[in-house]
Amino acid sequence: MASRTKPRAAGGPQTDKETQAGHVPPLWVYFAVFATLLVLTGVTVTAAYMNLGHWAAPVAVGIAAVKATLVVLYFMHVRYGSRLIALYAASGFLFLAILLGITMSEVAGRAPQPTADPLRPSARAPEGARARSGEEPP
Amino acid sequence: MSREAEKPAHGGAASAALAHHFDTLVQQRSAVELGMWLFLAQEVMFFGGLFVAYAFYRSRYIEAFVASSRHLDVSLGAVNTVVLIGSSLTMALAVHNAQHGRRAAMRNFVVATMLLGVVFLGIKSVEYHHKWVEHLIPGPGFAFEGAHAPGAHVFFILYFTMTGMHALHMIIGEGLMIALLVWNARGLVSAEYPSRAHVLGLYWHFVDIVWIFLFPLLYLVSRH
Repeated sequence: MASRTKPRAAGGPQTDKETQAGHVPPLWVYFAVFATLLVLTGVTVTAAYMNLGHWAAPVAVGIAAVKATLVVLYFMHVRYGSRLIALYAASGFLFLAILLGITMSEVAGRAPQPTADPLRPSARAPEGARARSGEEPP
Repeated sequence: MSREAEKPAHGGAASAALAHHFDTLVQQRSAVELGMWLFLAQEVMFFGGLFVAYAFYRSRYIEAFVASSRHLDVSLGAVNTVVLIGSSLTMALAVHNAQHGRRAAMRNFVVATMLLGVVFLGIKSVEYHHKWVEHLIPGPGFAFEGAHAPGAHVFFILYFTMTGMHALHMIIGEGLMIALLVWNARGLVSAEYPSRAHVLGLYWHFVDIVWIFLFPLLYLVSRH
């Protein structure tokens, strides 16, 4: 695939075709990406019914990340665009990774027990909530 | 690149698509697309906050999330995933035709995209109705059998917030598609300047990406 298309003509002189129509992938690419996305949807559903233990979430998110990358690269033309576009496209996900990484590493260091009712964390497991939830108070 | 050097390539100064504050159409197109990407980076952060909230509560109430997820209909969610991926394909084909100046074909693919979007929203509303019947709408009427009621309440708050914000983006997308049809009818989308189609396509694909993550995280927590 890489040999057929010429990505990242950033800074270089643009051909007539590029200036007229923008950087466009060939038509078959869209159908190939569409088919791949359908297959990966099937894979993620199948994986959810398997006992993967702690790997269930990483596998699900990993497949979704592959699907999202395909959409970004081909449907959204980042593969055929400038490096600046790629930088902008990646920036949101980079900061999201920082937010998620710091938050979850803090969570990992917490004591394991949750409050009885997350919607009323200040209430120290009142009788009603305990009876309703059946969970042990902290 | 000087203005004078670029003019002949675009048929002189007669190009109606060139706004006065840009030197060339290439420059204008780059700026417009970069603007949309900046907006989408902001959108990643907007939905990202919800995803982080989801990750936090899932780590704290994994058993409640597993139990809650089983109240969602995997079939409807999977069908909606296929519908939305299909709408991304038709959107990409609409942009492809816009970039080649085929206005009628572009219009048809935009209409197809809109129809698939309506199908998605229709299926989503059916799912919402099921949750209403099952008393799974967060609030005073929320009822969940078993020991996981508090965590389940949080799960369904996240479910309705995330899918609700996603559906709102779909509805806005439908409105943007109407604007695109109007622009196309007025001849404002051309091979020379297809950016109106391109950037609205970027928006549509982004909304698709949000669903690509929502589907496994909400519907497929653990099914074995």
